[in-house]
Amino acid sequence: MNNLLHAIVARLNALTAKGPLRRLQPVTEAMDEALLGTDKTNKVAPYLSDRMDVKRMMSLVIIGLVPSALAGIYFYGWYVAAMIATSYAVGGMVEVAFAMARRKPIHEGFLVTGLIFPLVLPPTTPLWIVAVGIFFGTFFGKEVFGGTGRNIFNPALVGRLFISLAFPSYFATMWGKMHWGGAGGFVKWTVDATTQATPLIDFKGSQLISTDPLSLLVGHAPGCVGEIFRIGILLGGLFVVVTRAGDWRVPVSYLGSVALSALVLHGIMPERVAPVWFQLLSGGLMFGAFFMANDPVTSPYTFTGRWVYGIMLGILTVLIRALSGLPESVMFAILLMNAVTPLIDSAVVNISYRRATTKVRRLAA
Amino acid sequence: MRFRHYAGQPGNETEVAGLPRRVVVPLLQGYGVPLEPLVQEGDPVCAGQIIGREDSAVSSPLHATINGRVAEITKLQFMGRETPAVVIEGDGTDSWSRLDGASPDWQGLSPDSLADLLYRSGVTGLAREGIPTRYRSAVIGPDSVRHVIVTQIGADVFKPNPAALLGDGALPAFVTGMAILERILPGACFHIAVSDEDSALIRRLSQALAGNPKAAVHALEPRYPQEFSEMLVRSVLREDFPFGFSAANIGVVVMDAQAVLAAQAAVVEGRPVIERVIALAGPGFTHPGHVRVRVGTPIEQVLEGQLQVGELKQRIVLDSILSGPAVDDLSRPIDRTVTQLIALPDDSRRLPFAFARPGLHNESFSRSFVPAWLPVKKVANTNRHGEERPCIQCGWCARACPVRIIPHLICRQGRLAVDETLVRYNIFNCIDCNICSLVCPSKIALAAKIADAKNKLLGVGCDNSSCIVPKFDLKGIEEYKGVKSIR
Repeated sequence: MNNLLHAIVARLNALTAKGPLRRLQPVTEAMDEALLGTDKTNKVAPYLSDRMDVKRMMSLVIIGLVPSALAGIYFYGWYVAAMIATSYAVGGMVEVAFAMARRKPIHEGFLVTGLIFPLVLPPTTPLWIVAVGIFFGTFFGKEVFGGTGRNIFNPALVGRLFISLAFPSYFATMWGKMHWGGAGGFVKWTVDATTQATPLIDFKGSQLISTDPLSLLVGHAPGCVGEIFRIGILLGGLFVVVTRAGDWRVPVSYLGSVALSALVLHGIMPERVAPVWFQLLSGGLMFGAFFMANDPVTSPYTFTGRWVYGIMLGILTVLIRALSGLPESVMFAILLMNAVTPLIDSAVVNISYRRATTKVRRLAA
Repeated sequence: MRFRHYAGQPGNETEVAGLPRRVVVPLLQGYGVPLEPLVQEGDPVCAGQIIGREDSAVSSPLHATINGRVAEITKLQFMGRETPAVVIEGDGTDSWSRLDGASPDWQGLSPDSLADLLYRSGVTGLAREGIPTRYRSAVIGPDSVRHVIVTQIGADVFKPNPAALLGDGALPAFVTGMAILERILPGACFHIAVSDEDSALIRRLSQALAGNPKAAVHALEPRYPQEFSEMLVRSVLREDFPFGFSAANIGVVVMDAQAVLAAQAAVVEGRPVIERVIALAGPGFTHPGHVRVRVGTPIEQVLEGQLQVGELKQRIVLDSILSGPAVDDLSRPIDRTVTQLIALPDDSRRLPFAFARPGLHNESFSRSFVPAWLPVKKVANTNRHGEERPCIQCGWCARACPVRIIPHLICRQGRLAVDETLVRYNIFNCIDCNICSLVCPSKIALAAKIADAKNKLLGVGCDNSSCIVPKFDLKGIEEYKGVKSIR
């Protein structure tokens, strides 16, 4: 088995070592690294390295997303799998093209982006729109900023924002009637594209709550592919936080802040602001808090900054849901806070380090 | 980080190594400046005879460590600088010359003659920044010493077994050594820092030192880098540390238990520092344990027959696999500050699907590997376990950093410009523990980059002394400038 792997990789490497296929080197290199692991050793102290690498970190997030993706297939049929495949194929192509043009290794970040993106779409989005969205998201959301680690906005959300503005009809009506009971969507291709409103749209329209907490938790209420099975999101999110692939501060502060501001505002204007449990369990909040707001690249790196970021996210989410014409707001809140992330970080850094130096100066004077 | 359950920890037995035929004594050992040799080629020497001594510069005397004849006096690349070294061919006899004035009835000796004995025996060079005496054996004088910290915590991945040094038989000697140090440093309080896991040792030490009002035993969590002076001052004394300076500058002397035992041996038995107990640790040894060797024995001779033989080469590291230097030239001699030799398999074998494995025996800051949940034996090797990637600001380096700086911020800023901004980001608080490089999932050499930037800043005369000096009552800074710390 081992020898076979080595042989395959050696053959691939030889194929792209020279000649017209040389441009494909990043691809074979990535396969080489993923299949066989590294042969590099530490030449300077520390001579011990953490077993974790970015590949595994991304894999952990993907494992955290698996319950949501499986639930998506169960509720909406195998068409969801086709959406995921499309997203991976197009997103991967953009990533590979940029790696080839830059002559840099392929970075693993697109593995998460490519899975998250279809999970935040309505279940009947046409495949060509999925392709356009992930293309736009990876291209303009990530690569033009310089690739993994340098993007300001969450690439999946950039893609979703683009298609929700370019093709608004799919977000308004195409929620479909979900499968429920028995083998569910595991034996179906897709859902009937009948018009059905999400609980948040219902509330916006009639100020009535059309569902109950249990249905929201197990996913018996329409919504985007990955956001409805909230028990799975909680378990997956917990997995990510416990394994330290994601920070716990952002989800805790985000959800806590939504709960608090909903509590206060619901008391002030109950007809516009939904109660706490409904705010927490509806829409993309759970999914956004654990898997999108928590993206390390686009959230603050200072720990104080992460608290500030999460708290402001929560307030924004509740305010946009209540006061704007939009039923759902998690995407806008996160993108908006992504934009101010550098500001939060530099403010926190400046304040915390200025405090240290002024104290010294006072002592010196 | 706390490192546990590593395979290859040394047992509690101590072997006595055979007498080396030939030793190399670099004239720079312990704390201080290089010395001029007092002997010439062809001179007969005996073990314990002083062959290097300089009373006018910060240093401690050095001894011939075997009986024999000076074969040559050479220059050696040692501790990163060219150092004169005395090579001695042994005659195979085992005796050593006793220090004048040593006596089992040491309580009758004056503090001055005790200090003289410690100086002549070389014990004063064993503390990290020297033990102060009326000689210039440290940058500060004996009256400036407020605290002495004796550390035997073992917070590193591999650590000497405390039972090997401080077994039942050694405790009376340890207590006597403490008493001797108390006599020569009358103004100091004594603190013994041990791991809180070793309750038996804590109990025995507390009982042995029960009648001593100036000594206290501290049980500390063995969390790396607890054994760094910077951390000890914080956790034992609860004081701020003047980062960028040394513990001696605030009147703290840090040493290990072996220095205390050596003090007793010098004063009571008249034995100069010609031997050292070193731990042989790591999965690369067939029988990890301790060995008592003469100072100056080449490392290759210590390793002879001890290493695992296999397809992998062993990397030999001094003292710590996290912060210590690797030994590339195995003819390098053991000096009297070495506490352990670690052999680590240089594992360049590729592991198919490494990222998807349960990682049964590997260290990780993440809790996604088996050792985070089950007490399985972990195996250390030098493999990087991944490819270098751009920083994704996951914040692990900042979470692991013991001095609360943000390593990735400093590295990013340092790539733009090495200037005062880095000083503002507290780059000089970095204590070179290298834990940031260890945990980084993107495999970025953060610690090396920070160390580089620090050197560049110091090179252009930029340091944090203007922030530190007004805050602390620093002692011996003028002298400190000329002397390079060996650690």
